[in-house]
Amino acid sequence: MDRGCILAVDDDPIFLRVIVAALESAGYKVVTASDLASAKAILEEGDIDRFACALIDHRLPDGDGTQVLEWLRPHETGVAAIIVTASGERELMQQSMIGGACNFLQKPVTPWEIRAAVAIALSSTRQRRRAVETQREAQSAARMRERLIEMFVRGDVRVEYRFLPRNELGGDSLNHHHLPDGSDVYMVSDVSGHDLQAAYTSALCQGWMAGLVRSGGAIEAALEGLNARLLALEGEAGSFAVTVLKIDPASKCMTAWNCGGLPPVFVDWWGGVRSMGERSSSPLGWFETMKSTRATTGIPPGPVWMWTDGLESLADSIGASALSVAYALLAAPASELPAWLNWSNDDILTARIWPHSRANFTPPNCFHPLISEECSRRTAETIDSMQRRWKNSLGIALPEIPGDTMHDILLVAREALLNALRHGCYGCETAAFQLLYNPGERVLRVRVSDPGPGHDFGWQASPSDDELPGSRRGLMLIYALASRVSSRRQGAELVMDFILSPDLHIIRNQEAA
Amino acid sequence: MNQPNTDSRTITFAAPGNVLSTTAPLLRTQLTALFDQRAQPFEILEMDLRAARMVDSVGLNLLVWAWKTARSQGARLRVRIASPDIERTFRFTRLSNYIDVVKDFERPDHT
Repeated sequence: MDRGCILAVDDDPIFLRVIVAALESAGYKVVTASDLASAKAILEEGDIDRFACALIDHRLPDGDGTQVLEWLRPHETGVAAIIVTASGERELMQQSMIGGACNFLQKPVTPWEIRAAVAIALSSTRQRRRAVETQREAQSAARMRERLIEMFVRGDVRVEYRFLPRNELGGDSLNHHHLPDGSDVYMVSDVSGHDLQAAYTSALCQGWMAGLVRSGGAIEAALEGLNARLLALEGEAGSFAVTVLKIDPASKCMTAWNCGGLPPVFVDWWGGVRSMGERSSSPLGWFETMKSTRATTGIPPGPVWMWTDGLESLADSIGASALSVAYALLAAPASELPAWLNWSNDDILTARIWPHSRANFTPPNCFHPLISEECSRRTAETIDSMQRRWKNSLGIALPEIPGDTMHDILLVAREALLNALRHGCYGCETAAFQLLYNPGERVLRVRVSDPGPGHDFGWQASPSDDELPGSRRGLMLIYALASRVSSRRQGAELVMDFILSPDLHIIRNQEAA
Repeated sequence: MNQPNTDSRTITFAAPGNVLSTTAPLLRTQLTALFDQRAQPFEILEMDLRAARMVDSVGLNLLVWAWKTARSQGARLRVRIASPDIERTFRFTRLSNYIDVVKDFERPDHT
């Protein structure tokens, strides 16, 4: 009967004989070493996995037994070790346990005690090896998932994405399908949890959706079918939050279905930041009646942004907008990701999809959204905290921005928003505040619009130089600090551009002209 | 705490931070109380804004009100600042043509 191979290391030949006798009589094979060097040589020369356990004397002629533990640890062999010490070495025992020993024995020791300790160690080795194997499988699956995402988004479409899983595996996923009718379908999904089950459920749900959509099935029907199946599992598979974006060049339209995910965001032909659909929908697997949202709009000139809730959580924790975080993640090289990512406690997935693009596509100069907020009149009371959020967002999206540029943009943004809230919003009406950046032309744009009748923004800073104006100092600041100002709807919609030099200082009116 | 300086013909008022729409109303109340406490005439109202990094249009309105109040009593307004950004704000709104600005900084302005 071979119950496993045990490595016994001790410089006392009599004690080694006791060990060999105790273990061989119980069916174990025993390999012996009398010092540290020969123990390491045995481990290095052969297959470490053949050892089921190691029994190591703490005091060896050329070192101490814990050095074997230090050697074993990085090799991830899973071999459990028992440290043998002389009596009265309690402190050494504690160190051994901290060093990775699974147990210790104090001399003198009986054959029965040796066999009992080895039996426990063997169980520990099995558990450790299962854990090591699971870890390897998870890493392998994670690599495969990353390759699959790369494969799905490759081809004749242009998608930039950043996938940063918290663990090896999790529930976030990105998928793309080019359909026979020429349309493209993108799915960004999230399953609760960051474990193997979440990854499995994610793959299953994405596979289900892919099968139906590619075979010509309607997206709504696919979502309803998946919802029914998740409900049939009575919560065992968790819930599946998904946002599906279909871009149809033939009809020049794109449609978004959102089930518990986040609505896609894009910049429309008029330069405004827009979301597709509502945020308040439920994931699949919650309710029998599926509560998805659906929105259709024309294909925008620039990219469409999609992300999962991990990005929103990270943005909240660092006091910035999700859009600015998404922009920063895609702007940073993969090898130089920003340090604030350490604040994340969830999977992060964000994608920028260029709907018009094809192979060898170079992204055109266009504005990317950094902030998009709806502000009620009460925002005027809390505008300082909002301004801090703008500052954080700008600092994250453009980390090199100088202090004076930051100051002027924040001051102009503040003046424009306060003006819109005071003069353009009544009751529950809201003003839209948006901040965008065109990196190709180095233009930062603040857009503020309100539902009011307008504010006579055609005003120019014209009073003579020796006159101190009695009012409209906010307008003076806006016109003086921004590079250019334009308005629509009698000033109810104001666009303030900051043209930046290569070192990101503002080029003012005269210089810009 | 801001106190009328009875040893000289100067009133000194220090703002603890930014002079903005959210802070200007309280600063104005404090400044009014300071004026009310002052029995004798003064020549200079000195506003210490060295703790401020931003002054918005409502803050500028406060400074204009202070300037007008000082002027009505035959006095001048002197403002101490430590931020080139605020100096730029004063310059672009022409306030620096009317008030004495004491700059406690050396950083070059990029505009």
